[in-house]
Amino acid sequence: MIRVLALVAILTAIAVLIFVVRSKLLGSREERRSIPRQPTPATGLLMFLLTVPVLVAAVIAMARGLLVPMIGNAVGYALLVCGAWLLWRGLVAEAAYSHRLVAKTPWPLKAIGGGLIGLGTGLTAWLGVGHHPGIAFAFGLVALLGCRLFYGGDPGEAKRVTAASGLDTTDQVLAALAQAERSIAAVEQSSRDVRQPELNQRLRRVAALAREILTLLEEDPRDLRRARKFLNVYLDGVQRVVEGYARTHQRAASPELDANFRRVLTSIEEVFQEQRQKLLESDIMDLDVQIEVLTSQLKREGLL
Amino acid sequence: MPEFPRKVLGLLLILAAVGVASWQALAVSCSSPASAAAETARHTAAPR
Repeated sequence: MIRVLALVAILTAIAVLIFVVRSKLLGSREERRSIPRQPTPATGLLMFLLTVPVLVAAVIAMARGLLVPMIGNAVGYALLVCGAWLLWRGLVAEAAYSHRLVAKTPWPLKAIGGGLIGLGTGLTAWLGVGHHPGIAFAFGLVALLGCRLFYGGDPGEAKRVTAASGLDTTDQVLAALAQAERSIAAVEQSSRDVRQPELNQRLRRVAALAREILTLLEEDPRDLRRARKFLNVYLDGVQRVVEGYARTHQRAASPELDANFRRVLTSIEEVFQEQRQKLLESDIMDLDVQIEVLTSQLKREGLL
Repeated sequence: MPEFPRKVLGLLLILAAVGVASWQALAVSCSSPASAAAETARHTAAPR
């Protein structure tokens, strides 16, 4: 009876572990949306599943009072899980790098993860199983080689962009795009607090348009000055308006406020669509004028 | 090396190293305490 209960407890713990790891690997909705081609969770889950027996072994060794195997298995499991997690983060970083047109060289997370898995496997084989150190070293080496072959290497080169003057503007472009991405995420976050389906739908459309504009800017980031102006003025303004509305809307419902917000959202959406069109036509001068018009409009409404 | 055989070989190596070490660790923990402790002590002791 006790054995059956222990088995059920272990199976439940493993199921919970798999569920938690899988949901963590899938990431947030925003993260999935910003990187369309995410690595399959099964690839990351494989390593977590393979290490589960080491955790069970560590618990059993502790229960039976076996100090050395317990330490070996516990430390080995910690190293294996850290390695599996870093491998997964490396796969996600690689997907983001492939998706982006401008990107820095990502950290060699897959290499570090593979190293930790090799170390964890070697330690488990030595202290947990009791193999000779030479054999344990071979186990670690095979695990490291397997990770390198199965998961591949890390991206080696940055995707750089240079301005018309010949200066490298990669860092500025990336900083501006990251700030814009944060603003869009904040708009999406605040839109969850807005209970009206129609306004919610409009906010989702505005966020989708903003992402499209970001992609267009990323495709042609040569004129950083105007791009920065657009990103700072537009998106910051929209973010503040939406956050302010979401806050006020939660405290008290006001039809007048809703009507004002609807009007502002309509004009923002229209201007965003025009901006996208202008960018598609590479009409940068018009883009600048439109920014000024929207800025003064937002100022007139008292929203900036 | 082409991608598919590289991945298959990598997966086999991972299963052979991580999988085997994990299940062996579990098997040793489940075996009798005396033999498990003796086995571990035999290989973790300083080499002569």
